[in-house]
Amino acid sequence: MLDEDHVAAEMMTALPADARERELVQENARLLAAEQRLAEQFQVLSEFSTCIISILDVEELLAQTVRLIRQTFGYYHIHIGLIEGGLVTFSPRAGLLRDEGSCAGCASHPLRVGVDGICGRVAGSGQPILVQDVTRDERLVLLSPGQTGSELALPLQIKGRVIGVLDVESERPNAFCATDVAMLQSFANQTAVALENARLYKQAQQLAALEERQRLARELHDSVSQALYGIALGARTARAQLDRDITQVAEPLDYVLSLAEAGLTDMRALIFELRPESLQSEGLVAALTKLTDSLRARHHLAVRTEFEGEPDIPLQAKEALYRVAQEALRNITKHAQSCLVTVQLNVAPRVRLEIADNGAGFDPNRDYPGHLGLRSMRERVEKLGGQLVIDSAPGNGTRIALSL
Amino acid sequence: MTIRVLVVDDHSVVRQGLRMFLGLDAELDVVGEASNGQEALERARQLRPDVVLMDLIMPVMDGITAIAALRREMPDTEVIALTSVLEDEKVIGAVRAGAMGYLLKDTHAEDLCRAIKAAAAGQVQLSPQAAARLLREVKAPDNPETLTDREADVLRLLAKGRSNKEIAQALIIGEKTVKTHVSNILAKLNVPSRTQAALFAVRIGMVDAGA
Repeated sequence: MLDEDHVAAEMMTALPADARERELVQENARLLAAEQRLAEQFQVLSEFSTCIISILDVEELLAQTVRLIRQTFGYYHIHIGLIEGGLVTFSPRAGLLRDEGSCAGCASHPLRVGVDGICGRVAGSGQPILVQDVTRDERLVLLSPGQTGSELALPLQIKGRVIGVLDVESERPNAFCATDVAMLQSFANQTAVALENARLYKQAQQLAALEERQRLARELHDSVSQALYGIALGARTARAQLDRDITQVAEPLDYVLSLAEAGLTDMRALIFELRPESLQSEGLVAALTKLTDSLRARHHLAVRTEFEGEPDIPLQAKEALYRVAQEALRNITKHAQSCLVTVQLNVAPRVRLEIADNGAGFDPNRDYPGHLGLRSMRERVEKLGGQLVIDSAPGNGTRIALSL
Repeated sequence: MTIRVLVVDDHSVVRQGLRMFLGLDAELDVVGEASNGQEALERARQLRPDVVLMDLIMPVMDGITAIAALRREMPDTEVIALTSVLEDEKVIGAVRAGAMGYLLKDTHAEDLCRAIKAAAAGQVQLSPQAAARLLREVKAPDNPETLTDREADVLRLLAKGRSNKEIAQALIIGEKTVKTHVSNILAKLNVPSRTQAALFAVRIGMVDAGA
């Protein structure tokens, strides 16, 4: 930051003149300094916007914001409160008090929206409040032990809805000029946008998790619960045959055994999916093996596997390969009516995964409304900078090849 | 006379198990299998089964759509929904489409044979869980036509879970006459199945829910 007086003094020594001229020079220097300061603050604001929009953790976002405001403006107490269930709540990390890295004082005192203190009122009205001299204002609730002279509270708003309050306090009375208020409101606005962004991100993640859970529930329905029902039917049949014709017991018992085996394989594959870290510890080859075992046991398909070895690629890439294989195999069981499936993994000269079947095939250039599988497959691969080739035609089987 | 059954399920292991288990009962004859609703319609047209055991969640054509089409095209074929899901939407959908019963894929497999026989005899049988969900949902038909006294008698017995034969005996009329009364009742109440007619009777207080 520039020291206005220092600049002014420098210019004065450089230009000796009479009193009136000196006054003018002084005034010019002050304006120049103020402008430079403003330019600097704008610079900080613009950097701030690009930096915080990418922070998706709310606590971290608020901590960074108050740190930056401190660096730029230097107030002794800065805190951002968020509105939750009718209260403005201040988390310790979202605040700075003097040299402490956080502010715990406000955290233990949530304020009622529209009722308590200056921040509570701002939260209620959505209008900023500036108190140039707090000793003359009875609305003030002093949460942090300190000598607050003046206080400025600004609303954080998204589409007209107040989501929080930025509170800054200076030890001096009359510390805030109109420019400060405008500049801090810009910071508050940017923070609100970043907060909304973080909230939407979290929502999207939760939605993705929900979809994943629903998919697993469907898988359980399709595999384990059908197997258990079959086992119950088979066991009852065997029990009845035991009293009637003991030579007929073998068939239902064999059926029960094959179902128990298929159920176990499916269970293993599903549990594997619930623990993605097992892809790290056990590797992609183990995961693909579980997947193809389950295909053999559950759908009685002939599956030929050729796995060259464990590829030396990041976990994220392994997960993408696994998901593509899973989606491709699911499509085969659902649509292909094929009898021979080949799954091949090569690691040299480059990592390549191929899933092929001799089933019904389809027209890859046609749209299949409601079927997002192929599109999400392609998106996964493109995200990794890989290539996905889908080779299929009605009646001619399908070959899906992914290379990294 | 054996009851001809068509088994519809997209899981081949379930079809295999059902065929094996139902095969134990000499009165039941599994005449065919289908792996989705579309196939079920085709097989039913060829085989004209007495009862169709219908899974609900299936690819190509789901069970509820298939039940509605089946009941429209082949009103003499009764359908029992057999599913692993107990969701209001599914139970209501199946019964609205005209399913005679709604059974869960659980371990009470012996209920299955009983339900198939009951359906073939024209008896309404719902699992208690399914019935509880349905009663809340069944709406009174818009402007039902007035039933004759005799039709009301038939409906009352039907709602108590009596078969056509039992109704015939109770009212001292022929079984064919009972069938005619039932068709008239369905037409007047504008419902696709005996199940819905029975639920309607319970709903308007013609019989007790527990009866």
